[in-house]
Amino acid sequence: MGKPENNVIQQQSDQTLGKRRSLLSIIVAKFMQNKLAVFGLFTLAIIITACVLAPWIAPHDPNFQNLRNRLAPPGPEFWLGTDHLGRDLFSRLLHGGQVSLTVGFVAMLGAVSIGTTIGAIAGFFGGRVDAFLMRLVDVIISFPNIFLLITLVAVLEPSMEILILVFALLSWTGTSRLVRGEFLTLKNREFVLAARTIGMSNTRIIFGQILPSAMGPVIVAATLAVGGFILAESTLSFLGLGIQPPRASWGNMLTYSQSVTIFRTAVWYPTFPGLMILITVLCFNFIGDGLRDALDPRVVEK
Amino acid sequence: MKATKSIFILVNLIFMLFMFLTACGTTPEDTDTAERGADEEVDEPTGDPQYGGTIVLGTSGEPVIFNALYHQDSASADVTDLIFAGLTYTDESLEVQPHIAKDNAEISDDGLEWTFELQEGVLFHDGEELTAHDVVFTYNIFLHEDYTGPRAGSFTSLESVEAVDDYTVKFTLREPDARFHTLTGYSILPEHILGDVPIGDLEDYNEFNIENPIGAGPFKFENWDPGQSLSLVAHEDYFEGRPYLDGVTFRFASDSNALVLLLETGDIDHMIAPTSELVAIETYEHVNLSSTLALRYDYIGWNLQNPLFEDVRVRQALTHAIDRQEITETVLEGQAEVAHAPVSPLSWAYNEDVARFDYDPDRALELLSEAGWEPGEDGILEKDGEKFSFTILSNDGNTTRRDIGIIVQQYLGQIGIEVKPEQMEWGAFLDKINPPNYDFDAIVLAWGLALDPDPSAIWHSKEIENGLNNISYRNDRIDEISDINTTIIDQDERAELLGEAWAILAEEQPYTFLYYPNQFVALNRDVQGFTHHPRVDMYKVNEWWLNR
Amino acid sequence: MTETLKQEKNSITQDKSDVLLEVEGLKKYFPVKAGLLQKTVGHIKAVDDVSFAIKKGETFGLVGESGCGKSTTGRTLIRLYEPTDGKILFEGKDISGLNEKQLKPYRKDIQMVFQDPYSSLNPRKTVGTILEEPFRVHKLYSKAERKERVEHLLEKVGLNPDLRNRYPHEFSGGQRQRIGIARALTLNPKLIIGDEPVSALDVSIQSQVLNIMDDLQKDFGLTYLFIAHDLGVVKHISDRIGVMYLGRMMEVAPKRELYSNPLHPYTQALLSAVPKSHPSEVKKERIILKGDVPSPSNPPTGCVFHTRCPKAMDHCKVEVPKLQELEPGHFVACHLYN
Ligand SMILES: Nc1ncnc2c1ncn2[C@@H]1O[C@H](COP(=O)(O)OP(=O)(O)OP(=O)(O)O)[C@@H](O)[C@H]1O
Ligand code: SF4
Ligand SMILES: [Mg+2]
Repeated sequence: MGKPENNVIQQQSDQTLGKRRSLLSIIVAKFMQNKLAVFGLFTLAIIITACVLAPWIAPHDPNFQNLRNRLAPPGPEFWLGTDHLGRDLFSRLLHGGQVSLTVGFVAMLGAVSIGTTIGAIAGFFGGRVDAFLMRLVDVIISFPNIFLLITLVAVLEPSMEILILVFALLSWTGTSRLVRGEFLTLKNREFVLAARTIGMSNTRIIFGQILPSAMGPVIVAATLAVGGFILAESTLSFLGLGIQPPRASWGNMLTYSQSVTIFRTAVWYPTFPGLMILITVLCFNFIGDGLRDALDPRVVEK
Repeated sequence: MKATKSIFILVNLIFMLFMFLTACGTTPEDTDTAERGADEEVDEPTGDPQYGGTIVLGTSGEPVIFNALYHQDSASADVTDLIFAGLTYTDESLEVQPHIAKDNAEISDDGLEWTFELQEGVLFHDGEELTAHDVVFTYNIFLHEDYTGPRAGSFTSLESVEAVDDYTVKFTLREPDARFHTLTGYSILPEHILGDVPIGDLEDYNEFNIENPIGAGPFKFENWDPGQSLSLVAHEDYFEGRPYLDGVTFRFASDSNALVLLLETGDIDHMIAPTSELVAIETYEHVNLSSTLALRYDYIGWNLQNPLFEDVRVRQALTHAIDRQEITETVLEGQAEVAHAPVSPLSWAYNEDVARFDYDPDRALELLSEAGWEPGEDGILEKDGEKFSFTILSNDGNTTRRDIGIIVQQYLGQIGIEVKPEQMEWGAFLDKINPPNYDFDAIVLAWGLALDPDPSAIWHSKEIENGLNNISYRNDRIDEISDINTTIIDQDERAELLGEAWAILAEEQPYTFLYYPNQFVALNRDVQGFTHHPRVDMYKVNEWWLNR
Repeated sequence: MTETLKQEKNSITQDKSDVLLEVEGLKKYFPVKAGLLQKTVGHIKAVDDVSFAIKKGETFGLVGESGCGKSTTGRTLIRLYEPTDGKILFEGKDISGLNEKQLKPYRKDIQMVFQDPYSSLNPRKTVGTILEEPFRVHKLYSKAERKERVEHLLEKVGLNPDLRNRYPHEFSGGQRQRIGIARALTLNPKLIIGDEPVSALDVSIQSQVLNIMDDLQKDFGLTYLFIAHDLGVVKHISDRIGVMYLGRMMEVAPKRELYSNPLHPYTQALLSAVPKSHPSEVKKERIILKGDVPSPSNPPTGCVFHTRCPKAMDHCKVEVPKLQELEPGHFVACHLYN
């Protein structure tokens, strides 16, 4: 009964050979089905490109003040108008975007690296290591994040580097819990056991076998975190603890425009940085949602 | 988790945006702010004063203590000014006038004995009469060795105070003191309530200082809900007659934006208006703006312990390089006058005839070159291999000072000086700049001036170690003038001597004197009887009335 | 050295020369942890004092109800779990105390086929990568040789070698299980532990996979430890069978002997539940076990089966019955035979 049957199976498989799709292509296809996510990715790509190219495409020095031309409305010379010190808003928006996006991305990378490492160690080794690390996470989480953030930034004196550092150091806990949870289930999956039976080392199992499968939710969380950090910088800016002048960030631009007079006489000033924050954060959320669906292992496996 | 939190913040931001957009829905009138003159009188009383009503004062500062012997902040001062009364007060032309006293002091020929006759029938809020014994009690606290408040230094010339009879007080000085009449306005405390409290414990005696302050002023303390509001009610037996208003409520808000919005909606009747919001406030039909030159000047202080600022030519050059005229005309909306010396034009001791360092970047470069500063390869000035680069510090929450830091960065950048503007929370800021730290290069700050123009407190070299001379200015002639000016009773003679001090300080430029700003008060149209005082916010509130 | 070791130990098989694996008094207790400090508050006695031996080239079937510790036994044997006590003698060498480094050579000799074809293959890797991984870990062969070997193995388990570049999700359950078998074969093992390798498959596919395993056993000279939860599956492929209950071995016997002459009351009950294929067997009455399987964290005293045993005696509640050889090759742990 052996041979002929085997042939049947081979034929079946051969038939599916033509329309086979790689894992990546399935994820991409799935992501592309989500219109909002594609829109978010597209918009974000434009914003990032513009901000990265700021030194070449900004028409003015973002920090040059012309006190005689304060709060000028949008026009041919200053496309989006000027701010309360007569600086070109469009140029500041591009340069400020560089700062805001850098804060968002680098803080995210930091938080995700720390969170993934700690979560992987806790989840894989379990026991006392896990108990200790998770208590540490509990302690960090038990502080009201925003107060700790304010205190730390105030004590360390705000700068881009400090903001990134503090964001990363306070925000890895979510990722670590996520990764730990993934590791707890994945480490007992039979493919991981199989890896151990062939004598694979722990490091190789963690990074080569488990982590790739655990990264889906982490990527989603990381995407959302970038938007969160951009917002956090804005929130801190409202307290004077964001990026310091004269350097622009979307957050501090929005903050400097918080005056009833400016809203009344120069409504474009708060509107543009506000919109940039809004659009960027929404884009990241759309992309995060899209990735969540696309990376869902249940969807992939079936 | 993260997603919901960020969405939450996002929604808040959007909400904020909309709040402002709807609040500012009306189109602004195109007013030329530069035309607005100082001292404009807005309160043409419509008809006779009438009794009744409560007025709401908006403020962003929370008071700390209701005892004038101890408070150090203006929010506390505003409240105590309403609750308490003193022997004298200072009127809007900065003249000292009798208050509880029947008349100004009778001064003996040698200038050492000051005698006040008190009005009879002045009652504290609890119905007890205020007598000479209460005055003696209050002033003896300043002289007591256990006194913990900040004002002992003002009374070094006072030897003793005694009650000649129930309505006569006599102050005896060690030496003539030209400032002394400005010290006779302190709140009189009730001896029958505080007489038994040890002087050392008085500062922390919260039963009185916070929970139930009793004075003889026009309003009685009623209730304080920290963070929310504080309410006072009329003192029916006030010795100048019952105030027209039934009560005064302070409403606390987080910042000036919130206050302006409360003003717009009519939730508050009065606020000190920031210059940056005048354009908006002017469009409110139910609000009048009153302005007067404030008894203050704004400045940039150069830390003279820093070798960068040692050379007087460098300091003069720095002032030359900053266009103060442009700053007052633009950022200050034309509502300020360029300052040249540390004295207000409102003071009788003002001296117009001092050195001026108007905007002249070429001259600045010349002076710097004379002082040895030449442009380096990167365009930044260098001397002995060291770059001219420093940090300019201001406190956060003050947008004008923050902006001046950024503006100065550009002005000085244009002549090759590298400036880094920085801001800091108020408490940390004070801690950093004051003794024993002196940890700053330059600061943007302002002085609200005392009534008496004596320069000692800020400029005497003995104030470096512990006082307000935190830029470490040292000049023998200034020390000398500081020491002797208060002993000269003749005002003209004293004004001449002080004029010399102002001239020296203007020439030496230990500060870049920026400007004398106007102060604006935004007042609901219904509030009548308001008098704008250059120094006191809660001035003659017993004469205010509501036309509702 | 191995020879002397073999001589010294207490064997439960008569002929030791053809023994590949011998298990002696194996225990695996899982700690039960609770509280903030993760204190150990008790133990799950998943495997408790189990002994048996597997001969070269044979298929040893291990059966028992769900939760009785079959998988734990298998996983402890292959050192996925740290044994709590006991010896695991592979070709006479005790591997129970070896660390991961010392174990590495034995990793080639003992392999496992898992129960769940869906979770036993890493969904992020292609079949080729999965099958080459053992070579990479043990640094065997050149790139070309690896490819060749993978293709050969795929053919051996009846799959088209061109499917190397596909991901597991592109295969059916039966195909995946073949891939799992191929992976177990990569390192040329001597012993393969099959932990219910067909129980997740459709009945129609089960026999295909069993046939392939059978063929491979002949081709590669393999020894199987075949775990199953009922006697039906093992009947066809096993040479000898061990019956487990609540972490303990109840009866070990050659297949025919066990089916024709089950001695242990538990085995008898299990057999009565097997679907009958011959009308002659229908006559036997079905023995229905009453009650639930007790918890392994708090197993019954004495004979762990006494709470459900239809023939239990007072004595059974007190004394643990020893596994003893009643007839040659037929071992039983029951007080009925004392
Ligand atoms: N890693 C573990 N930690 C704690 N307890 C475990 C662990 N693995 C198994 N157990 C427990 O040990 C006992 C035996 O489990 P095991 O998986 O060996 O049984 P099994 O006979 O293979 O059952 P099944 O037929 O369901 O696969 C069960 O009670 C189980 O809950
Ligand atoms: S020992 Fe007793 S309880 Fe256990 S199987 Fe035998 S008869 Fe039943
Ligand atoms: Mg099992």
